[in-house]
Amino acid sequence: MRRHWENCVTHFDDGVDQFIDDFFSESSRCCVLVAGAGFDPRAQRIARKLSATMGDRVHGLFIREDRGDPAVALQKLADENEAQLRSVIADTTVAHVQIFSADDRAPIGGHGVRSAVDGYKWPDDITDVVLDMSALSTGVGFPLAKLLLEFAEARPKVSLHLMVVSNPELDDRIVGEPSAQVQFVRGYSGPSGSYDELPVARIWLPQLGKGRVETLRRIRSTLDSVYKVCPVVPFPARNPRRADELLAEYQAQLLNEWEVDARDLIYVSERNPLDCYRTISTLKKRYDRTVEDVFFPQIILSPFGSKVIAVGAMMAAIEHDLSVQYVETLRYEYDPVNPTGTPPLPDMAVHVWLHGPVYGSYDAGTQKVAS
Amino acid sequence: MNDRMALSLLAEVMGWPEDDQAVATREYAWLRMMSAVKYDGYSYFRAGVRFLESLATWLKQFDPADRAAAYDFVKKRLVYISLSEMQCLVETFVPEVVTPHLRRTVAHQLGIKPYEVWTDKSGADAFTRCLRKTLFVGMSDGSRIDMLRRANAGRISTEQVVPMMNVDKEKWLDLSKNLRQAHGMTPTEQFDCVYLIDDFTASGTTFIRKNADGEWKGKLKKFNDLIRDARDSVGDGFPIAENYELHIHHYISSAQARSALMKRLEIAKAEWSEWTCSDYTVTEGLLLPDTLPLARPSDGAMLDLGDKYYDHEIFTRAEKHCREAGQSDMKLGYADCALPIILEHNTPNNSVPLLWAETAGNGGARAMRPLFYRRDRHGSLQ
Repeated sequence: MRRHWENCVTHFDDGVDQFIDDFFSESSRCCVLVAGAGFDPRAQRIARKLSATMGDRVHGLFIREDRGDPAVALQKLADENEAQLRSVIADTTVAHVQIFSADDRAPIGGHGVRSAVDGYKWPDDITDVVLDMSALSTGVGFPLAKLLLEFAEARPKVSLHLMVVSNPELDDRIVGEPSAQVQFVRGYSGPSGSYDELPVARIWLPQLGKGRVETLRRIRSTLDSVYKVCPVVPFPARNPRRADELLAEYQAQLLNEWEVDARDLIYVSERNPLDCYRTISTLKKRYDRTVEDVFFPQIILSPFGSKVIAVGAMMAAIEHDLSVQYVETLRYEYDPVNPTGTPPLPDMAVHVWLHGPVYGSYDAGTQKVAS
Repeated sequence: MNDRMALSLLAEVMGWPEDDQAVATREYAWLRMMSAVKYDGYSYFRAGVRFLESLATWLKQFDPADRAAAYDFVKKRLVYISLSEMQCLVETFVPEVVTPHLRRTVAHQLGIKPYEVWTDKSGADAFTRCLRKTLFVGMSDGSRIDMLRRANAGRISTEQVVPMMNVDKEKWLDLSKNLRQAHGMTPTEQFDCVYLIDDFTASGTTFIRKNADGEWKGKLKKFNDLIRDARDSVGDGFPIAENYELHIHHYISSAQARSALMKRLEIAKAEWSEWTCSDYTVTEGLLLPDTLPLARPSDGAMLDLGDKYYDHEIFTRAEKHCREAGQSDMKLGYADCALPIILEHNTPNNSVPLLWAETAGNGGARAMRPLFYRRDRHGSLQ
C-alpha cells in the first residue's frame, strides 16, 4: 500500500522549475525523461528545463505515437517537436509506437509501450525517472506510468516523478476523432477471476471533457450492471464556470440517459491530481464496504478532458486495481492559432513525486494526531 | 413538481414562442438540471419556492424586452459555489495549503530540504509535532469549521481548532493544557502557527482596512487585539507563542482582494505598535480570475440593466460603509467589485446588486427583487 500517495510531495507552476533547479542540479543525479514527442505544444517545456539544469546527466526516451493517418499540419508540428527534443537532450531515443494494428485497426498502443520500455538501455547510474505526461495520450501514458512505477519500486534508490504541463483551455481546442472500439487501457482491466461467486455491481466514473459526449456515450453503452454513474468535473478550476459548462454540454446524458443523481457529481481540482486520487480512493473504500458479500464491486474510470485530473484517476486505478475504459483516438485536429483571438492563458505545471527514498519514514508519524 | 406547469410559467415570463417548443424545452431542461445540481440548495430558499420560482419572480421585475439579457447572464456568467464545491475547497485546505507549509517549516528547523521531511523518522516526527502546534481559527460561519474537522479527523485534533474568534480566558487555558499534555510536547509548549480561516473575500476590506480618519478596522485588527489582550490577562498559560506565524486563508478570494490584502498587511505591520505575529502569508483555495467581474463591452447588456433597475436605497442603507470604500453608488456592488458570484450559504454584497438587492421602490424608484436573498452581517435579509 502506497500510503504516501495521499500526501505526495508536489510542486506547482514556478515551483516545478524551482524544484528542478534545486533537486536536479545535484551532480549525483542521473535522470531519464520519458515523454511524448507528438504535436502537442507542451511537449518541450519539461525537457528544456531538465536539460538546462542537468546537461548531459539527463537522457531522453521519447514516445512518438503513430496513428497511421495524421493531419499533415500536425505531422509537421510533431516532426518539429521531435527535432527540438533531439537538440535539447543529446542522448535521446525516440520510440515510434503504433497506436493501431495495421491488420484490423485494433488499438495496440499499450503493447508498443512495453516494447519501448523493455528495449531501452537504462543508464547504470540512474537515480530518477521523470514521466512527463503532458503530450502523451491515455492509451500510452497510463501503461507507461505503471511500467515505470514497477521499474522504480524494484530499485529502492530510484525516484519516480510525474510531471504534467496542462492548459485546460488549450485542451478544449484539441479535437480527437474516436475509434469504434471501447476497450480497457492496457494494464488497467481491473481485478479478474472474481466475478463467479457474486454478481458484479459497477460504479462508472466518466470524467467529463469538452467534445467527448459521443465517446462517453459509447463507453456507457458497453457497460451493464451499473449501480451508479458519478461524473467527474473540475472544481476548483481557473475558470470557475468550467464544471457548469460541462454539465450543460452533457445535460441530456446526465438527466435522461445515465440517470445521474445530482448529489453524485464528483468535484476535483484541475490543478492537483492528488485531489482526484484521494476522492476516488475514499469512494473505493466506502463502496467496497457497502456491497461486501452481496455484490462484487467494480469501479470503472473513463478519463477524458483535464490531464491533471486523469493523472489522479490513474493513480487511483494503479493503487486500487481499478478498471480504465476508454476509446482510442484515430486522429487529432488542432489549430495552433486561437480562433477566439483572446490572449492564451499560461500553462500550469505540476510535479508529483510518486515514489522514492524521500518517503522512507512516511509511515512513522505523519498521520497520527499527537493528542 | 409539475414540469408542464413550471415550463409554462417560465415560457410565459420569458416570452418563449408557443409555436416552437424547442427553445422552452431545451432551456427548461437546463434549468431543471442546474436547479437540482446547484441552485435549489441555496440556504435561503424555502420549500415550494426554490430556484425556478425565484427566477420567475426575478425576471418579472424587468421589462419583457430586458428579460433575455437577464436570463443570458444567469446562464452564461453566474458563478454559484455549491455546498459540494465548498466542501471540496475545505477538504483540500490541509493537504494542499497547510502540509506544504509545515514541510518547509520542518525543513528549516532541521536544515534539510522540504521534500526530505519524510525521508527519516526525525523529520516525520517533527512534522507531526509541527502540525499539532498549529492552531486553526474560524473567522465566521463561512469558515466551515465543522467540515474542516470532519475532513481532517485523525489528522488534526479538535483541541487545535477554534470555531469562532470569541475566545475567553478559560478556552485559552484549555487549549494550552491540551497542547502541553499531547504526545511528545513539553510543559511550556505553545502554538507556533495560526491559520485564520474565512470563506470569501472580494475586496479584502472586511478583513483589514484603514478608515479615512486613519483608524484600522476589520477582522484582523480584532484578532490582533484579542491576542494582545489575552497575552496580558492569561499570562503563562497563554497558548500562542510570542513570534507565531500568521496565515490568512480564504476558501475563495478575488484577485483584487488578494492584492489589496497584501498591500494593507504590509502597511499594518509597519504601523501597528502591537503587531502580535512574526510573519504572515495569504493563501486561498480558489483564486477567482481577474476577468470574472462584469465589464464592458462583453457584459454591457447586464450592466445596462444594473443601471436601469437600480434603486439608490441600497446605497443609503449602508452609506457609511460604502463611502469608506470610496463609493457614491452601489450599482456594481460593494467596493465596485461587480462580481457575478453566489455562495450557497449567502450572497456577497460585492456581487452585482441585481442578484441580491430587495427594495420597496420608494420615491419613484423601481422595486428591486432578488434572485438570491442575501442576509447582511447584522442578520437582516436585504
